[in-house]
Amino acid sequence: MSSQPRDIDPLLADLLAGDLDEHDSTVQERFAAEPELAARWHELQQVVGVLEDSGQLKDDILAEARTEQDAPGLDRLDSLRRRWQSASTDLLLTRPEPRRWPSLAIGGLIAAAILLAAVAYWLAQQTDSDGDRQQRREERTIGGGFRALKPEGALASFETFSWETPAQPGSQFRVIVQDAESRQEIDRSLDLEQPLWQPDEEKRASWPPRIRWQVEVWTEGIRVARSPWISASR
Amino acid sequence: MSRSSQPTELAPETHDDLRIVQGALRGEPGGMEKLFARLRCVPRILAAINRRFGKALQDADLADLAQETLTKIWSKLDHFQGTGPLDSWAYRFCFLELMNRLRHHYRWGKLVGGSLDGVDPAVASTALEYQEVEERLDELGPPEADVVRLKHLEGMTFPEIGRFLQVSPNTAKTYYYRGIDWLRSRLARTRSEGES
Repeated sequence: MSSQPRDIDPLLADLLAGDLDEHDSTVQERFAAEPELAARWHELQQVVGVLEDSGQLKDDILAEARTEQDAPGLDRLDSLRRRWQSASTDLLLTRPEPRRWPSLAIGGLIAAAILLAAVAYWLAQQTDSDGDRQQRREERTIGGGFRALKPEGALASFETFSWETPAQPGSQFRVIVQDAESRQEIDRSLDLEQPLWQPDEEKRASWPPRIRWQVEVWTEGIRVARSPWISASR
Repeated sequence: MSRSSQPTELAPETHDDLRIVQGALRGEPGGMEKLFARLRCVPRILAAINRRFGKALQDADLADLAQETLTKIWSKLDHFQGTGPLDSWAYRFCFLELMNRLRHHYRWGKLVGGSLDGVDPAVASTALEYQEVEERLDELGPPEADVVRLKHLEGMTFPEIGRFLQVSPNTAKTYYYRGIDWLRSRLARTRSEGES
């Protein structure tokens, strides 16, 4: 694993494990002294964000599936079970054997089928991967580059959310706010034309004292970038 | 560098699903019936994922996919360690199989582009990112990949992960850090390759 760090930075490890708070003065001092460390922390947070979103999607889908009554393929389970059961108890070996084709012919047919499948797969890969790469390139062109994300740290209120980003003109922004403790979403903005959001005062009043938030950049219906999660408290 | 994808040996945990799976694999009487009662989750999970993707697959395709996914799960069943419910473990197979099927679907481009009718673009985006993360975790291998999955996809705490892996919570944290940092470097590399 060549790109694994040889020396683990204890500060980042503690932050990632939740043993240390990002707003701790020692952390902020190190980040101020070592901008590359702060940048790496933001990148790590982005990875964690992807994993948290994936975990949430999984939980939602499983919850939905557990209440599902019917689904395509359920009616095939019994025949599948019987097939596996008979295979696992070697019943197939004791059955009268069906008419056998000469082994050479079977071998030739299998080889031809494998060759045909390989060619079809290769062709499909060529077609799809070009489009796929293009789409991914589009999705990643902008990347991060967020600056001056506010609110951050301890504040009197969460009145105004603002940020700077090199997003291309015409992009839209979407702010997502979570409870910092439970990581449950508590609010999200509509699509914003400007890098600024002032949530409704009544809504803000219902928010917990500690939040974390993230801004996503959308261009032509594609999420092209998102910021790390930013923690704030009041 | 690719590493073995052989799962880390986890400490045995008394769990109903683990007993059911082991019973079926040992050929216990009624074992297969119990297992299949639990595996009914597979077509349901696939249907739920497919719904998130605007029902991109028709019912007949979904039924075929359920059968193929079940066959894959059956071939990997001895890897089930009981770290969570069987449906939670089966989810990864369902998700990746469905994504692979969609990759060759005429609507894949729209899904990636976030313009597939009836699909929340945020869900599509998360799904694509998750697929990429899973591919990178497969490259990484155990124990780091196991820890990352247990933490985020099984919702386990570090002490719980430590108990399963038979390591201290601090060691679990170290594996976690390495896993996340590996993903960071690999995803950054993918990003820079995409931009070049």
